[in-house]
Amino acid sequence: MSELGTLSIRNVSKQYKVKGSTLSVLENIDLDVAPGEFVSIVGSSGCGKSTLLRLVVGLEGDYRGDILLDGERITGPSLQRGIVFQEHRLFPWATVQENIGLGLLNAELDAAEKAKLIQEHIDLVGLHGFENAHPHQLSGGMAQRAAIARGLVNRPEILLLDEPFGALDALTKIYLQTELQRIWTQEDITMILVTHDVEEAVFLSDRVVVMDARPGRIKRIVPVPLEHPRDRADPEFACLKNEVLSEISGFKPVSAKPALKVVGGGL
Amino acid sequence: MSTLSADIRTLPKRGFRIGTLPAAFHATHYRGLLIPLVLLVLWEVAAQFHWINPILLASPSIIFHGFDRSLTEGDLLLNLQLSVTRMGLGWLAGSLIGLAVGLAIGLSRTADRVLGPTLHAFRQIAPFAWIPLISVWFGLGDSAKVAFVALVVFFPVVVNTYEGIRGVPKQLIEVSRVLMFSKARLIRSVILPAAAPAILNGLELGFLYAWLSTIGAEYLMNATGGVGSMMESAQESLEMDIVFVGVIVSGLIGFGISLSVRLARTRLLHWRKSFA
Ligand SMILES: Nc1ncnc2c1ncn2[C@@H]1O[C@H](COP(=O)(O)OP(=O)(O)OP(=O)(O)O)[C@@H](O)[C@H]1O
Ligand SMILES: [Mg+2]
Repeated sequence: MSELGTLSIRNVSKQYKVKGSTLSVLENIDLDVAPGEFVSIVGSSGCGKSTLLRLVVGLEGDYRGDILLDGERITGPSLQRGIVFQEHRLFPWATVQENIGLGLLNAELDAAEKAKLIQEHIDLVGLHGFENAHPHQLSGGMAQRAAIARGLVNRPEILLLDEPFGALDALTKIYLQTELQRIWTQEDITMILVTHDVEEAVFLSDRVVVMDARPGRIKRIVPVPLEHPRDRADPEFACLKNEVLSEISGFKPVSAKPALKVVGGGL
Repeated sequence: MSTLSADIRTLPKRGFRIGTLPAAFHATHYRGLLIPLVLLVLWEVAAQFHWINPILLASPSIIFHGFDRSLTEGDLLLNLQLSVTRMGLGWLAGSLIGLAVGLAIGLSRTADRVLGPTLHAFRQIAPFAWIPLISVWFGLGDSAKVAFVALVVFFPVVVNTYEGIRGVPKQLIEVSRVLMFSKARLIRSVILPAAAPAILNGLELGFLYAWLSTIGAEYLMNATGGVGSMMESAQESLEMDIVFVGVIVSGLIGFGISLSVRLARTRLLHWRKSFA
C-alpha cells in the first residue's frame, strides 16, 4: 500500500443525459488496482468500458463515487496517466514522428534525448521508414501502432489502453502483446487494457474484469495466477480462457464433447 | 526504405507540385474550349455580315484591335496596376482584421457573445449597399475603394475562421488535454492546424471577392482610374471594344486568382486526404 500508483475506484456511477432522459452507463463500480498490476476489462459492446477509462484518465468530471490515485481524488488529466484511445486520434497534419513527439512535449529532456526516444518507439511499433508519413498515408493498424507509441513514449505511471490491438493482424498483434508485456515488466507501469480478445486478456493480465451491460457493472473478476511469460498452449491457460468466456457469454463450453453436440443439446 | 515506401499511398512531397499544374489542362479540358471557339467564330461572322449592331456588341477582331489601342494609346497597364494594388491592399486589410476578429470570437466565448450578434447583423447587409456610406466617409479616391474591398473580404474571412475553430474535433481537443498542453500550445499545435483548411477557404473566397469588389468599386466610384473605371468611361463614350477589353482582362485576372489559390491550397494542405 505504501508504493505509489494505487488506483481505487470506489462505488463509481456515471450517467449521461441524452435528450432530457438519463442513461445510466456505469453503476457501482468497485475496483482496486495495485501499482504495477496489469488488469484487463472485457465485456460486450456498449457496457461502458471506454467510459470507465475516460473517468480514470480524467476527461469526465461529472460522476458519483470516488476515483482515487494514492488516496487523492482524480479531478482532471495528468501526465502520470496516459491513454491510447479506441480510435487512433493522431493529429492528421502531423507526421508519425511529430505525433509521437507531441506525447513528449512536457517531458524534461533535451532535444537529442527526445529524438532518440521517439525513434526507439517508432521502431518498437514497427513503423520504421514511416517517420515522415502522415496519418492518412497509414493503414488503420499502422495508425493505431503510432498511437500506442505516443501513449507509451512518456512512460506514464498508469497507462490505459482501449482496444489498442483491435485493428491489427494476428501476427502483429501477438508481437505487440509480447512487446507490451516486456515494457510492462521492465518499466513497472500499471496497465489497464480494454479488449474484446479473451486470449489477449488472459495472456497479459494479472486479473480480468468481466463487465455486464445496461447498466455497466462488474460481473466478476477472474484472477490469472500463471507465471509470465505465459504459454498459450498450456491447458491451465485454456481453462482460464474458457472461464472468462463463459462469464461473458453465460455459455459453458464443455470441452469433452464436440461443439455441435453442445449446441444440439441446448436446443 | 524503398520497399516500405511502396506502402505509402501517396508519397509525402514537401516541394512544389508542378505535376498538378499541367493536370488542370488535360484533354478533357480542351474539349471544354470547343463551344467558346465555335461561338467566337459565329460572333465574328455575324459582325462581318452586320447581323449585329457593333455599338451593342463589338466583334472579336475589333476587340482585339481595342486591346492594341488601350495598350499603346490608352492606360490599360496603368489601370491594371491601380486595380491590382487596390485589390491587394483591400484584401490584406480585410484579411488581417477578419483573421483577428475571427480568432477572437472563435477562441473566446466572451468575445463571441459580445461581437457575434453585431457581426451577424452586419453580414446581412448587401455589400454594395455600403457604397453610398463609404463614399460619404472616404470620398471617391483610393482609400474609399480599398475600404470597400476590405469590407467585402472581411466577412468570409471572419465567418470561415470562426467556423473552422469551432469545428475542431472534440476528440483531438481531448488528446491535447490528456497530454497536458498549455492553452498556447493547444492553439498553436491543435486548433490552428485543424482550422487551417477553413481559414484558407475564407482567405481564398476573400481573394476572389476582392477582385470582384475592386472592379465594382471602381465602376461605381469612377474617379481615380482602374479597370472598372476604364470600363465605365468607355461605356459612357460608347467605346464597346474597350468595355470588352475590361471584361476580358478582369476575367483573366479572376481566373489567374482562382488558379493560384488552388495551387497554394494543394501546397499548404498536403496532409489532407482530398482537396475536393
Ligand atoms: N458522450 C456520451 N453521451 C451520451 N451517451 C454516451 C456518451 N458516451 C458514451 N455513451 C453511452 O454510454 C454507453 C457506453 O459507452 P462506451 O463507449 O463506454 O462503451 P464500450 O464498452 O467502450 O463499448 P465498445 O466495446 O463498443 O467500445 C453506450 O451506451 C453509449 O451510447
Ligand atoms: Mg469502447
